Amino acid sequence: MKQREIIVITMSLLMALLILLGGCGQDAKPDSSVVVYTSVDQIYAEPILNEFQESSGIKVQAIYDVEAAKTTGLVNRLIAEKNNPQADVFWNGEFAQTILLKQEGVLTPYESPSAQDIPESLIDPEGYWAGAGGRCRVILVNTELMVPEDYPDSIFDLLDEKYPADKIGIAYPLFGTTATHAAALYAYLGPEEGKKYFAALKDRGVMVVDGNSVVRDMVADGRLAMGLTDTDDAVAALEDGKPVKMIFPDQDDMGTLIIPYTTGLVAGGPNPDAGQQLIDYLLSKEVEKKIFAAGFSQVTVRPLDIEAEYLPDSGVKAMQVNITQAYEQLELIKEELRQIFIR
Amino acid sequence: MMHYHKGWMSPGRLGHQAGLVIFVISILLPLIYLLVKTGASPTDKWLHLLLPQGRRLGLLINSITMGCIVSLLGTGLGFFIAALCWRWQKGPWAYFKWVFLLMILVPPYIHSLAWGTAFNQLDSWLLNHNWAGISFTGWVAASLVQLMYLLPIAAGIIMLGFQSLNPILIEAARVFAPDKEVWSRVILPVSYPILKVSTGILFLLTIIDYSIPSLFQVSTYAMEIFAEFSASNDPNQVMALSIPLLFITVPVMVFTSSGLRTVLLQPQKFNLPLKNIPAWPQEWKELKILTSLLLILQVGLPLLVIIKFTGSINSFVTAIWGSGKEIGLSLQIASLTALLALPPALSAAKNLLNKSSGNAVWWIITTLPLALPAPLAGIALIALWNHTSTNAIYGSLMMPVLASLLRFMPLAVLVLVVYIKMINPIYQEAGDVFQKTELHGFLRIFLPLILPGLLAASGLIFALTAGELGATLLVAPAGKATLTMKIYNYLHYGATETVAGLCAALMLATFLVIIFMLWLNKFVIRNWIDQRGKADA
Repeated sequence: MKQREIIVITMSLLMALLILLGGCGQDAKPDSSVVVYTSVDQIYAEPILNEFQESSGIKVQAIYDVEAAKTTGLVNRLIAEKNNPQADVFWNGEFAQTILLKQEGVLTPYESPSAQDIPESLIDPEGYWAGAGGRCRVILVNTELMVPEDYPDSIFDLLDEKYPADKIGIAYPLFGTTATHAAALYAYLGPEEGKKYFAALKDRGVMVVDGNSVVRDMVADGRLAMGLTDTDDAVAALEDGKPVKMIFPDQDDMGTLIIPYTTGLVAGGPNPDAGQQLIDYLLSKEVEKKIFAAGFSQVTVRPLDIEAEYLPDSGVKAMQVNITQAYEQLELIKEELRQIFIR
Repeated sequence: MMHYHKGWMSPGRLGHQAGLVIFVISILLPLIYLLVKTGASPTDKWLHLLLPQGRRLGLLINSITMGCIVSLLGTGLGFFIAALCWRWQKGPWAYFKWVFLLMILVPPYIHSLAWGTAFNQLDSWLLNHNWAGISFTGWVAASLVQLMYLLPIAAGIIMLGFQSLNPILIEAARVFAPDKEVWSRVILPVSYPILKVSTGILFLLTIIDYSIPSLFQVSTYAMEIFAEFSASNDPNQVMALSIPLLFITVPVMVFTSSGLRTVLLQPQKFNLPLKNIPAWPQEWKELKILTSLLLILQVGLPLLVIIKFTGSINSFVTAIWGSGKEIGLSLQIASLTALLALPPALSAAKNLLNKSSGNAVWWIITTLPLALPAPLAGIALIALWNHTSTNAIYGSLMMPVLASLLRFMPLAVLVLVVYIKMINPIYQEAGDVFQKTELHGFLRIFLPLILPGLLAASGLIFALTAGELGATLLVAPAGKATLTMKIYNYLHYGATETVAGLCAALMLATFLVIIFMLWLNKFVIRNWIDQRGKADA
């Protein structure tokens, strides 16, 4: 073998070894750190977590979920990691997946002092999770395509023949907060009526798109006249100066569904103390205010002295539905609505 | 057929076996471990999921139909685009060619947004002129956007095929026939193996994707798999539901690489370059115009969206400035994956060509990951690596690398199988006779001949890894995120200007990597080969 070939092979092997070592190496862990998995959008969650890091001196290592993963992302990661947990805290943008993790044995009880003034309905009786800062399920309308007198005021208006079906959009009611909304409707109206509602939407030919953000984008750029989405998506379009208006539906009837964010402590996580501190912080009034100001939540779960820019002056009438009862409908809706919407 | 066996204990044989072991560990071990760990057993539900009926069968047919439409149209159009780009060897058009190939890094959502907006404008214009409007939804829209998204892969593969055409054959044909005849009676038939590869890869990438079809109201089998996972959170059921895809992917992989002829196509990287590339025949003028228009639209529409939403240079710089870590991480993971995939993929490709080693079983092993939904690949890796004894690997960058190896290495194998088959066995046999050592023969004969295949395979893996999301999300180390993870996160928020800026950043970073690789190829490797040639002479 020629000397040059030996040099090339040796260099190649060295390079591969260096890359491998670089890949395997982990950052040196600081004295105190906390690992959080969160489905709250990075744009809202990151500043909050950075502030916690600065004020507490605890390094925060976060993994952010994405809507495109369709609820198969971090929740399944947490379940798969159950025997050797890597995360300390799960910070969820809604409640159903948190309850699922409780059922799967991924969470451990922790009663945070910050949750003392949170209504009982938003705290797990066994202390596995607690919620704050609510998002609402709203109808977003394009103000260039619709006149105010034609604005819908109920989710049942989406079934009204006066609105062309191909100009109305919803996200697949099998994933994310749209699934949570469907489960809440099943719990509130009863499974039969709930199923009837979604079957009617499908039969009308309402556009069923990939996610709430897609509904927002399609309404914002005029491809749809209206669509059902979350307030954080709607507020993003409003802040962006798009010609849209947010309608809080069913204010004269069953009310608007409000979905709080929830937190849970991971059982056997590597940094339980730091995890508890982070949960205390996330459930605090301070964070609820901040996340409200940032536009992620539009409803607070306790009286806070803040101005609500996009809320109706009269406030928002909430749909009276028990969180656990809504969760119990989730399996049924996913089975039934799959038959309706994926075919 | 070439001979790869030189004896049980020869260094070549050991290297081959080592590559094969790494290949099996990378793709099969996680799946076996997942099955063992979750205690999969053939229950009634399992069997029910294994045999799609009724609605599920309909969805499977939808997926196959979509796969056929996209792969056949994509390969046909890819051929003409590759023919157009082939002539762009120098000047600005040569760079445009790379911009087109880089469009594969643009997320499907941007393609959807671009085409949706264009058709929306067209619809408004038609309605304003009292004509019937058009609704950009359903099969036509989904197929068009999927086609546009995957077109750079098809054209890229075919372009590499053109680079490997035997110049003597082409130039001889040009002496006796006009260019039209050369195209239709020589280049097209000779490119058939590469066209099969392109068709196969496009088909496989289409049937495992749900994102674009679901944006346009087309339900597919991949969507059903995601719905099942979301509803049950049970990897076992998802695995059973994925098996029918395996019944499709195995025959497609076998078809793609079967019946390839040798001799006519030969990797020519360091041999005679084709001096005069046949001109586009006059009779095909309309096709040329159509292809050019399509190419401009494929690149132009998403780029317009990116430029429009990025807004200004400031926004672009801000997006890059705020995402330096993610860009670096993405490039590191993609490069590592592209590099690490080659030796095992080469061994696996050789193994598939060796008829004595249980070919059918190897094809199934190789194809299995292609039928696997991305999150399940992530779950399998968690099951295998998440133990206290392996925390050093589990918490590291190796996990996203392993995820992409698991998902995309079979495609590299497929590309390499074809390129190995294209090597003229005479070269290899001459090498066997004259090589000083096995390694000498490998470095001087086999490696230069297979180099275009290695470049094609690593390029494909690099691009797919850079855009991977579903499995990476499940295994990325805490506190770290790839650019694709960030793009999808911001996409949900609606920060279109940031998303556009990040897409542009990803494209720019990859473009710079490609320029660097081309430079490396041109000045370093070629110089070395030339010097070796002179020294040997």
